[in-house]
Amino acid sequence: MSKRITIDPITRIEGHLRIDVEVDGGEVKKAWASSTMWRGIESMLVGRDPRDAWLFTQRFCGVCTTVHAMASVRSVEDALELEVPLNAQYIRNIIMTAHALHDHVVHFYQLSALDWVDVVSALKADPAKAAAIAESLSDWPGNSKEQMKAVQDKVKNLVASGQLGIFAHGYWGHPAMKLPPEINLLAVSHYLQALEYQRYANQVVAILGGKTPHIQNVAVGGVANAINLDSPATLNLDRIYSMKPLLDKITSFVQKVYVPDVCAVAGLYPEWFGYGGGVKNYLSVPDIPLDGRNTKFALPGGTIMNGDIGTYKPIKGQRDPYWRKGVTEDSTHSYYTGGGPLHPFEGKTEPQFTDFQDDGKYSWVKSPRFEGKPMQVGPLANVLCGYAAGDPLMKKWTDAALSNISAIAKVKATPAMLHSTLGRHGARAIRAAVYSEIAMQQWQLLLDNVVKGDTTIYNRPEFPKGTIEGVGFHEAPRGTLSHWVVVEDGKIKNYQAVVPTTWNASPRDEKGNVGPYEASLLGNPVAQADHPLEVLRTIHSFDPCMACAVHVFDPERKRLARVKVLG
Amino acid sequence: MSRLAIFGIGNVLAQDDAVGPTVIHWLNSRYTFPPDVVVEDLGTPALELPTHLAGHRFVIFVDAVAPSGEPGTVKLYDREDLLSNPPGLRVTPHDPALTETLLLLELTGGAPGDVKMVGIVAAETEMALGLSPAVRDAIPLAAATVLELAERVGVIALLRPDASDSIPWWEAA
Repeated sequence: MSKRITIDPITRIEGHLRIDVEVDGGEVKKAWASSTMWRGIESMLVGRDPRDAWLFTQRFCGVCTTVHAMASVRSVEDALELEVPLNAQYIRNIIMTAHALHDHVVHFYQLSALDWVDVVSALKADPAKAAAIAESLSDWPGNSKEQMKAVQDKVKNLVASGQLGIFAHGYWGHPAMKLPPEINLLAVSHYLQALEYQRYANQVVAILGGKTPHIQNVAVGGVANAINLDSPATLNLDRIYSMKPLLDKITSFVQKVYVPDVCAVAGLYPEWFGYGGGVKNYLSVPDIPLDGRNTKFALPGGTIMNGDIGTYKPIKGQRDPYWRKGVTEDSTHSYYTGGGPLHPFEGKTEPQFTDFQDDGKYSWVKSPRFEGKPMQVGPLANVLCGYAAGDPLMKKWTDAALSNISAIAKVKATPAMLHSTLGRHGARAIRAAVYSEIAMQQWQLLLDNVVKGDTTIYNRPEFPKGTIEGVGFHEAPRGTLSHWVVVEDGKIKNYQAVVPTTWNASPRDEKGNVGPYEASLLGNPVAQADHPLEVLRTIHSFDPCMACAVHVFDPERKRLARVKVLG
Repeated sequence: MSRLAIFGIGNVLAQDDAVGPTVIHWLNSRYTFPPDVVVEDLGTPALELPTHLAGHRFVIFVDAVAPSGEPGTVKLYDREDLLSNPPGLRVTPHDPALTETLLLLELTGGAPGDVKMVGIVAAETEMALGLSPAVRDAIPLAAATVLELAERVGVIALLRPDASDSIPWWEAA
């Protein structure tokens, strides 16, 4: 008999993602991904000065703040065909890479590790054995027997107190939890250490951006970081050098802790390379521009169709017609008027709310499509495209990760296995390792350019009479983000943000094609309908972020996510 | 380590959720604080909250709270109130909030010595600009509550000679 499971964080005002699955015979047969909240944000920007748009867009969302600031200024710069000084590009690039490193580390340890790691099982671990395993994985200094023991004692006290504190919501003892106690202890230990390293990444963003999470230093035309090597009040050599040890520490954590941990988890759950593939069309955009007009990038982007990396087609820049003409948004199954696909420059966001209708409208998310096809975005798309393009860093870290996984799983791991739930986690770690190297390169480029005597940071925008349009894209931690702006007589006429989670969480389109979340859940196992851990594993692997959090604190809330099972 | 941190939390584009940042703007445009006191609009810090929350002796949050009384009612919560909520199932990164962050810092170290929250009961939190009238009227009381809590730990804010009624950027036309 089929059962319907709804995971709906409805008791929490800030929850926006609802997943419905129909389970039969222990596996998912049908799936719906729905956003339960309207994003009426873009209409707020109409009539405003395009130079201010980034201030608003970076408040769209509580998680992806910086990325919306970047995409916004890029869209206006594209409309104006405005060149951006090299220093500004490097400063933005360092901010974006540090932000991405923070985001990826936090995603794995704080948001998804507990889908795989059983904290309570860590109590049974032998700390010496855990330390020995850790040593076999990397030469990270934070893995001693004493440190493992100290972490185990902390967890022991927590369990003895009768309250699991931060770990209280985990699915402890779930039959799908399979890691040995020592690996669980190792992961919990790194979970706690990750906090320190995310702070270093934040500090880099704050040195350049003024503050986090909402940076203050970008501007249409460049950045506002005055550079003067003789002034203590501006960006000078001291400040530039102060970022170096922070970047070194983050790099070391990513390469020696995060990547090995993901490989170990992946190698010990090899069956999860068989689930969660879903939509195997991938989209990513090139990023980390190396010149002022966004024609050269440190990392490539493009499309891959049907899971065949031989189909890779590059996107050369935001002006490439393949990209610029390829994107549309459909609202057949979304709570908006209209239906069929519209290009973002012509995009509309007029609400038309109905109930949740399985075959009708059921989500506030639109369905973005590329040349009419649903696309998966995110680190996996980024890594596969980089791999297909032959990018040396992407290749180096992908091959290293696959070889680590092969050694642990004792099967040969191949790039084809990345089309899966675990593949998305693996790709995020690979991308983080690549970004740790990119961050250092960008830091060096900034230093060299400033030492050379270039202090230019800004080119003043001038708005013409008449209508201009532009697109700014950014390969954000959750995937391809693009802002599409139409400016008339110096004021915003239309603004559309096509965000990564919209690509991945999109509902069905007019042709009935399901979106990536929905497709990825089909065939997923579900051992216990009231504890659908396996559904969360696959959804979490995308790093979902329903844009535009409302952070009202609810002191009376009792439960966060409601899991409802209809028999 | 700072003696005191006063943090406004909330999405300024979501009607009454802007009240936390608005109270911070109100305080900063009227008062100066000692250099070892942090007064900041954190917006929607989500996953960056642990970084901001660590290493302060005392933290006061100002935030909109879900309907649990007349809109605009100012409520005071202490650490136990905040911790009495069970942490929940995390589905998206928006989920980890105050409770989870406090619990995490208690485990890793660096948790603030004490935490209070000045909550203002919200009426509307859809994505739109502007506070509802009852919530706007509550700003002076919420700010006075913050100043009184600060005084209790020996932090005296001084009225600025250039105190102004300036409006925050998100309210400017």
